[in-house]
Amino acid sequence: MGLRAAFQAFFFFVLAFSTIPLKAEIKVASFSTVLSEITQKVGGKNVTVTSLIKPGQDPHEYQLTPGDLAAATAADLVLLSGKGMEASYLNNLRDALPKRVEVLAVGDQLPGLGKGAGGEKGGSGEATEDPHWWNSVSEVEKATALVRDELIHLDPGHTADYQAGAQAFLSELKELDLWAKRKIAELPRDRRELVTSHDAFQYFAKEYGFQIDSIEGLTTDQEPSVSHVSALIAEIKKQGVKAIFLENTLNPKVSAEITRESGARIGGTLYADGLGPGEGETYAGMTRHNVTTIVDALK
Amino acid sequence: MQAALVIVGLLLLLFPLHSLTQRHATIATPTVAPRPAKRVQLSLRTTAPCRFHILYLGQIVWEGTDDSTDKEIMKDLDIDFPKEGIDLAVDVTWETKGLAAAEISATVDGSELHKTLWGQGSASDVVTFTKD
Repeated sequence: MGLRAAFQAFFFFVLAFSTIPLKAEIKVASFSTVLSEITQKVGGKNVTVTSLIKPGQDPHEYQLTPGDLAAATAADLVLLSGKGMEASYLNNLRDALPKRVEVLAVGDQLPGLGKGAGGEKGGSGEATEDPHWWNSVSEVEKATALVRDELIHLDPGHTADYQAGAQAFLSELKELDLWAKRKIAELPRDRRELVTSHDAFQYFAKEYGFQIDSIEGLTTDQEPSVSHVSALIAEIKKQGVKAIFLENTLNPKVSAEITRESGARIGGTLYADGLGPGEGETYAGMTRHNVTTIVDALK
Repeated sequence: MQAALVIVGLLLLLFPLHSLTQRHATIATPTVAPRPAKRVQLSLRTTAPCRFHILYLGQIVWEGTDDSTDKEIMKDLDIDFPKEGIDLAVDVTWETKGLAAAEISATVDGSELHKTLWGQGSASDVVTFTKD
C-alpha cells in the first residue's frame, strides 16, 4: 500500500512538471543599461540579453535604428526604462512589435517624482517626471522584483532559478544601500545641496536627504536659460555650496561660468543616465562612484 | 647721487601703486557661518546584552557595551544639530542569536526622539533624527 502510494505520488510529480514548458532561453531586448544588468543577474543562463542602449550612451538622445528594431522584434521580452524616457520612439516601437512580444516599462510600475528646479518639458508624452529611478537603490530593488516576476511569467519552468537569482542580487543591493547610507552620513544634512548637469537625481535626493538644483532640465537636450543660470548662481552662493557635478553632456561654457561666478568648484563627473565605462560598468560600481564623488566634494 | 635716490624712491612706490591699481578678482568664496554646537543627549536601551558603536559624520562618538536590559545608558554630545537633522550610523551586536532590539534616543532642545534597530545577532543602520 505504501509502495503504491509512493508510486502514485511520483507519477503525479512527473506529470505536474511535464506540463510546465521549459523554455530553452528567453530573449530579452533592453533599452536600459541598468535593466540589462538586472535581467542578466536574475535570469542567468536562462536568458540572453541584448542591450540596445550601450553603457555610456545617452538614452535621452537615443534614436531607434532598423537594426535595434529587428533585435526587439526577435525578442520574447522588451524592457523599457519608462516614465517618458522612450517617448520619442515608443509609438513606433509598439506599432512594430509583434503581439507575442511582451513589453515591460519598469519605471511606469514605480512611484513617480515630479519636476525639479531645472525647468520642465511637457506635452507629447515627453518627460514630465524624473525617469531616472535607478539613482535610488531601493527603486532598483523594486525593479528587480518586477523583472523576476516577468521572467517567471514567461518561463515558469525556471521559477526557482529566477527566484534564486533575484534573491542573490537583492542581497547585493541591500549591502550597497547600507554602504551608501553610511557614506552619505559622513556629510552633514545641511550640506546636502546637489547641483548637477541635468535633473536626474530626484530619486537619489529623496532617498538620501538632498536638495536638488540642476543646470539643465529633466532631459539632456534642454539648454539652460540665462535667467535660470543666474538664479542658480545666486542659490549656490546663498547656500554656500562647495561643488557642482557634471556629466559629459553639458556645455562646458555654462559650467565654467557657474563655477567662476559662484566660487563653487567642479566636484566631479557623475553617472546619471545609467551604466558607463570605467567604475560605472556595474550598478554597484556606478552607485559607489556617484556617492563617493558627491560626499567627498561636499564635505 | 640724488638721481639714484629718486630712482630708489620711485621703485619703492611701485608696490603700493601696483596694489592700488590691481583689479581684484570678485569671485565669491562660499562660506557658511558656523553654528554653535548643541548639547545632544543620546541614550540606548536594549532587549539583550550587546556591544555597540555609534558614528556621527564618520567618526565614532560613542561605543561600549550594555549589559543591562532594564535601564538605559546615556552619553552627552556637543555637536551641530541643523534644522535638517542629524544622521547616526549605528552598529549593534547582541550576545543572543535570537531576535533583539536596541532603542536609540536623542534629546535636543527638550525634544526627545527615538529610533529602534531590530536584528538577529547584529544590526547596522543609519538613523536620522529630525526635530520636525
